[in-house]
Amino acid sequence: MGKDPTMRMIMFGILQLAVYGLMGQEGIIAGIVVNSMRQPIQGVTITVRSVDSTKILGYAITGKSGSFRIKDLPPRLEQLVLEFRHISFESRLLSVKGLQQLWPASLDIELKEKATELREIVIKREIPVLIRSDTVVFNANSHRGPEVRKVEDLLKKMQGFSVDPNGRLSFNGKPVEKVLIDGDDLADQAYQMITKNLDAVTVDKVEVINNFSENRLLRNIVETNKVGVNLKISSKYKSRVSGGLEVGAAFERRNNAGLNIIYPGKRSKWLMFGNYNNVARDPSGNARYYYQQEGGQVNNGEYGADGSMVLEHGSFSIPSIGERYTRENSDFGLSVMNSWKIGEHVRISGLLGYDDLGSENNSFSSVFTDISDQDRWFVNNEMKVNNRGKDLVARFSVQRDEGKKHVSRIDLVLNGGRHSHRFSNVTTGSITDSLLEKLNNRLKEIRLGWQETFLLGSRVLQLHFNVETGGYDQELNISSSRYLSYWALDSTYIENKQALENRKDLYDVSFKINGKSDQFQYEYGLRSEYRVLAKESEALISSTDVKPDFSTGFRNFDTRDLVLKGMFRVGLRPGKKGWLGINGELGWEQLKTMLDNRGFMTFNAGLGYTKSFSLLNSIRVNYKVGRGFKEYNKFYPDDLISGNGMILNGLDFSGPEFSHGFLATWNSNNISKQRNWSANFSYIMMPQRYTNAVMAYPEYSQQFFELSHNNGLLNTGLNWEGYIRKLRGRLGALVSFNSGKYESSVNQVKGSSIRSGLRTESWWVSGFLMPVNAELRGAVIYSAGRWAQGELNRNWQYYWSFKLKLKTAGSFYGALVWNFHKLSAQQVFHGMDLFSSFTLSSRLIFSITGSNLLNVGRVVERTVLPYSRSGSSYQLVGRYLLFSLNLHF
Amino acid sequence: MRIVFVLFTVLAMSANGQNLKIEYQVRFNDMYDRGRSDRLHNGQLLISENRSRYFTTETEKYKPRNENDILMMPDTANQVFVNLSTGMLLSQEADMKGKTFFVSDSLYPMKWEISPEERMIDSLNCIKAICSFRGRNYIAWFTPDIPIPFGPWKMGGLPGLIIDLQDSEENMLVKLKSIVRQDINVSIPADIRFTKDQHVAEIKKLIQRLKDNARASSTGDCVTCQQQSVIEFFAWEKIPQ
Repeated sequence: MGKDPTMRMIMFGILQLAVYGLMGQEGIIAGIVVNSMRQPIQGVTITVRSVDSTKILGYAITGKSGSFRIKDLPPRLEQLVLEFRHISFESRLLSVKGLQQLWPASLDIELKEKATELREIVIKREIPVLIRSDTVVFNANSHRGPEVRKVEDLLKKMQGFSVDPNGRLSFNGKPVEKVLIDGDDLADQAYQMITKNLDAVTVDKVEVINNFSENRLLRNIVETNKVGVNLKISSKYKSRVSGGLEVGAAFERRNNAGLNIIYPGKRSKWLMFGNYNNVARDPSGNARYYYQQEGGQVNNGEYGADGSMVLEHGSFSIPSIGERYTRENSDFGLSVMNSWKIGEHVRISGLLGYDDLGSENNSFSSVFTDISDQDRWFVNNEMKVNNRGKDLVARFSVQRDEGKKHVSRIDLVLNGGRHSHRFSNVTTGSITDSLLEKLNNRLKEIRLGWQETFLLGSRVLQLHFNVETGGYDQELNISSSRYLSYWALDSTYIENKQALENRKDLYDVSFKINGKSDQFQYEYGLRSEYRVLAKESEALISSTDVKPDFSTGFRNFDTRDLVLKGMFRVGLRPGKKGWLGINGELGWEQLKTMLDNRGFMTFNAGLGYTKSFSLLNSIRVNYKVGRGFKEYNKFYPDDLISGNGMILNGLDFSGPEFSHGFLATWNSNNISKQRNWSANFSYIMMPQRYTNAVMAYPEYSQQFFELSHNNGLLNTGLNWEGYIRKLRGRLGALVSFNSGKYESSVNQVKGSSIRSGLRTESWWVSGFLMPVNAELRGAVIYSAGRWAQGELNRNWQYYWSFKLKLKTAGSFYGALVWNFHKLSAQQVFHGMDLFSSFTLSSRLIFSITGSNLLNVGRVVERTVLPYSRSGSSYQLVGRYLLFSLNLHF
Repeated sequence: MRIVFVLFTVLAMSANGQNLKIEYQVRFNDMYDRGRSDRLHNGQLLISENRSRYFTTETEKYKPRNENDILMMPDTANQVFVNLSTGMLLSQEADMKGKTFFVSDSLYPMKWEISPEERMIDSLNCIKAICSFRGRNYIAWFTPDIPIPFGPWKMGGLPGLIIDLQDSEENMLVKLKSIVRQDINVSIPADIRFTKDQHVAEIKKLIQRLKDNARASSTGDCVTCQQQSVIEFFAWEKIPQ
């Protein structure tokens, strides 16, 4: 066989085929690329693709000899395209029908010289987020958008920030303590004045400072759970006056006007915001923040079973009653704040805020009932509510910061306010009934605080002195009369005049020492507090039922409270990234009231563990147990009860009760991948017990009520949001569940209720690279509750909204929002809002804002019984189209 | 939001005139593998025929966390030279005293896996590619529209210029800022102190010496004290054990 030439040829052929077959299985393409002079070309890129796909299956770059070799190609490819490219040669495409076609010869490719036309490219790209050891830096330019006007709008677009209806911020679930302007604190804790008024365009970067402490000396020593936000002003707005002016008008005599001015100089900074509107916008960012401690409540909408908002502020408000319902507001706000650096160490800051808020609510209803074929009982009801509040806050601070060793600070705060409330209700028809209530409040308050901080080696000593004095007065006038014409009864009347003076003095002295090393941190201190609370009331009641007129006037409530407390906190670091903390507080409280003088021991203890995997990824677990939480303070009778002819005179007192609570939170915010997870679980058990002594009309006698509550509250929630590339948008989902059990006992008569709520919500925000985008959001809320042994009440609520956005390449942006709410079978609302803007120049924007355009929110309640039909309905109003011009200078 | 400026300057590239200056914006985490401390740098890739030089300059100063925190980084950090003709890659390194020297390394040894994902960056059609290189995973977006195999730092060897680059943990993020034509002459340094293998061996020796010193200082006459030094060495290109 070996000598037979024919056989040798056959064997050689078989062997060659076998080798090529093996090459085919390995999927190799090899060859050489040369120029027209047959010289090898270096640096030619060769890519292999399938005809029916753009995916690159293999590639190579020619070496100095011009040769290339592409390995590991799928061997069974039938249609291939090879592309040869070089920046100085004409590109060449080679179509190949399967790898088999290329064998046995290697490819010999010749490229023609050609100057490639390459464009110069300059791309203005900014890295949106930088993460430093304890600071996250957001680049403002990367987060702007057509709907971003104010700083609050900008912050909402930065992943991790959330804003509650009052404008309070949190980042990664941690509350924001301060908002600084280039490192200076201008607004103290009322930072909404800045975030709601300052134009976003002036901000260059937003720094989120974790473990924030207002006092610089504490920053590396005390672990806080608070966040500070520093707004870095763009260099082109520094050391000059800039601002914005907005003027708008709408049909139905609605209008708004706003002016904001900023001067961020090197040594001094000034901010001024002024707003007027009657389109239900908060004009100031809220100087009233200071008064919330006084028991004031801002109600921005309807809340779901789990305490979360069902209706968003500004969309529309649900009227309380009436067939026709109108609401008119007229609000004005002005705030001025400044910061001044004197020398190297002293900084003076001041704030002046004034609010004048007014609203008028009118409603009219007509209710009829057919009692028989002949008789009809009917009433027309007209209701009018006028509210007006004027608030003034002035704050003045001096801080001396002497290098690294000593910080001294004095704060003086003045609060003042006048609030009036007028309510009239006139019923005509089968009953003639009128009620007029006038309530006036006056508030005056002064607070003086002095704080000294010393750095002693690796420890920090803090001394605090705080004095508060002030109070508020109330006057209430009620007059009502009734004439029952249907039953032909006599008329009755009641005149009720009440006055209440409320006074509070507080003296507070404390010292605290903090220290920290890599593995250990501690805090201990002493605090003493002395409070004097006094109330004086007077009432005059005239009535057809009671003769002669009854009057009372005496200093009927006086309490003195002395508190002495010692506290400690120890933190240990068992691992590299976790802190285990134990804290305790032991105190003695002596409470002298009108009826009692007693002292009791109080304590608080807490155990917590925090593990920070990274700056934006942490787990926190806390357990707290205590006796003598200061909950009784809530139950002081701050307000007169209007409309029922009774003054709550008594005292309230909660004995020290054991309370305990557990809280676990997890936050994982992956900003670069645009994913955000958070989960929380909490359980609080808080028994309360207090006694009311009531001087009640018409018995004129003291009655004692002893109330006790045994409340347990469970909250849990899971929130996820992320960018899904395939959906070209952000997708989010939220599930929360809460359940509360309330047990109460009034004079040993027991009652209990249980209430649970489940909320699921999901949303999608598209990010198409096209003019049209959309947002879709939907929520389902289920709640169930039972009082005592009663029936189980179930309720389903639904909410969804659809937002369509259009942005043209030119200057137009428009967004139309449709909201749908179903709060119960009878309560169904549709709302439509519009936002559109035309950018006329870099400084001037014209916008059209529409509110409640559909105006079809309608509630119908109807009852039909034999010989009796009754019905009432109301519609929402407040529809307007506001045309406004916005100038930035 | 990004604003794109395209200068429609048409450049006629002669056969041997591939002189380009490519600028990148670079975000680098100085505390990689230990924490987070990002800083911005300006990256430049200079291409002259078959040679390239890449280096970064800081746009903001390093802020030490405490008095013991010292950053030893040359002025032109991450400097890498490539010569396609000789298949050589040189990188600049610094010793414990901060003195710089060059180490020869293999050219584009990473094995890229090209993904079907594509996206437009400015007017450039870019394709995603991933690779694993010395202990880290990288994601690159390259453009076949500019058929040159260069990229920032030691990354390259793809059938197109690397436009964006990042490691999977986002410690390093490199984004293209501009491509302009400029008369550049890249000359490759001749003073090479080590090969890559020799340099790794030197680092291992240094680590061992530091550990021995620490152990020696924790023993001795001190009977009552309990001293323990822990030395951890972090390197961007992870050292094989």
